[in-house]
Amino acid sequence: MQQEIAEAPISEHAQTFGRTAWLVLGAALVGLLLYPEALLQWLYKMPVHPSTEFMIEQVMNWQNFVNETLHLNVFFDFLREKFREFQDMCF
Amino acid sequence: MLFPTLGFGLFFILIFFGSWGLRAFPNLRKYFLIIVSYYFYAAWDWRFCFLLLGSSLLNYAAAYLISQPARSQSAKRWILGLSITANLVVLGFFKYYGFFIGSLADLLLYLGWERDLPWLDVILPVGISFFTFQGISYVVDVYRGQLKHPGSLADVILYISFFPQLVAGPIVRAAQFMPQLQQQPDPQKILASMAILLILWGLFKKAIVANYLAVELVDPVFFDPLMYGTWDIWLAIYAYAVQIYCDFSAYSDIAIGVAALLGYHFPRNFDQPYRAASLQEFWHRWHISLSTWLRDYLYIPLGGSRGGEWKTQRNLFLTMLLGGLWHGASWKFVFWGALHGGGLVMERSVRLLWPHQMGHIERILRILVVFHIVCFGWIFFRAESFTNAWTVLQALTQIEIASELVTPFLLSLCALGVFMHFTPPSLIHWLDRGFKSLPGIIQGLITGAVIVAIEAFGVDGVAPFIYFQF
Repeated sequence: MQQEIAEAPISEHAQTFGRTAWLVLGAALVGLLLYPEALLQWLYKMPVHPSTEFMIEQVMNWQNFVNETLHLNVFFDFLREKFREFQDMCF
Repeated sequence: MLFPTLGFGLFFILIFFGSWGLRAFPNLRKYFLIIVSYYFYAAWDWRFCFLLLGSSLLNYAAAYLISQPARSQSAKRWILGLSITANLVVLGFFKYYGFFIGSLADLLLYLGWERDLPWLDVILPVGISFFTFQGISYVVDVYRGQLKHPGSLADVILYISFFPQLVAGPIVRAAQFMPQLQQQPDPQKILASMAILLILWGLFKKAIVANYLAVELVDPVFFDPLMYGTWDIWLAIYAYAVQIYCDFSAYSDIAIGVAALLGYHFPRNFDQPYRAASLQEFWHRWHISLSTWLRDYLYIPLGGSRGGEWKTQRNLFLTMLLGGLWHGASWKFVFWGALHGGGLVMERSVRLLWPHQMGHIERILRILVVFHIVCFGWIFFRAESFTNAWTVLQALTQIEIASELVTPFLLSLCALGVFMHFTPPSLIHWLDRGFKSLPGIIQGLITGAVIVAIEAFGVDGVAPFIYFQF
């Protein structure tokens, strides 16, 4: 895989900054919106400060909203449960 | 700050937009990348930023003095020698002081001359082996004329501290990286789809394959080998071969991908190493940036293949022995290096005595033999000590059929790791073509979804990369 990028002909594989910027922003947005848990864990490691507390509160509100309206937690829990079942399987 | 964390993700987004935003101001862009690289390094221990800066200043001063045309060749050689010595003294103090004092104390005790030796608790700065080797290669390249101009101080500071490769490689050569700093990266030509595929590939290998194999199989078995059956031990050894490949190559994948998104090109570091039909071929495929560094800056200066067969074999063995010691301050790494060095010497002797063309069957048999020699070496590499490695080897020979770790999940992970190792280039091209044809925002949504999935199914907590300790 590394060979593919190390020896890739630039003209065939390159794309513009504009498209790349959308890519980076889109990925960040999906990550933060669908998985606020990660953001929350990161915020917990920040120094104690009113602004941190405010951000934690906002992210928790968002997490509750995502869980209650989109039911993403149900979806993730289902997938995780199946994953754990597979992990615990024996011969 | 570790690659597979949200902290790094946010940090990278700022760097991505900041560095491309400063594209029209090359010097400002360099300073910006230096500041963020030092911030990245300070996340481990800010005090070692001074060490990093000191290393850059030392190497820049040496290269600057060497590059003066009026200076005599012998003076240049002296400066080169002094700068290499200074680099090695710093590395030796931080990495090997405890090892040498401990070994000396053991030796004195054995001889019956027990003494109180000056013990110091020296903290190992993350990535010191990597940035020291980069510094040495920079000065040597200037001395050899492979780098026509030593560059500016900012170029050197950025070259040594550039965050994607700072803590665990690849060991990028100054001659490869510094000319890129003279050119403005082209915003119309970012290898984004390949870079993102490489980063996702690396994240999956590390967060799913390597971490689960470590936590559920390799770590428990190496912690107490006698607790497990023969099949568990065998599987743990094979699994470690998969784990270390997935762990280390993942770091290189992410580093190469991150650098590519910023418009820089790093050399590849892995090329399907377990396909090697000889140890020599293995080292052409495994940690390529280290093996080529050892060839160019150690093996060749030792004399290389000049001076007859005996000296060639001696140089080969010494290079691998020191390469082993580079990995860690412990006799087990010295043994690991000696094993590979001895293997290379034997291979060379056999090739000289019995030169012949390798057939398909022989190649397959050799791949299996080389893989098992490499796995044997990995036992010492992974074990906490010689005693631990010996216990693993003893446990291998016991006939204990009962197995609690050979599960469908762990076998599937090993198979997945092997598949990722042997991924055919056609599949990667197919993935790249498909991904590149999508609009940027869709690419982003897919990337985000894959990252979320990896994060959701990964092992709880963040395990550092194996090569951080080196």
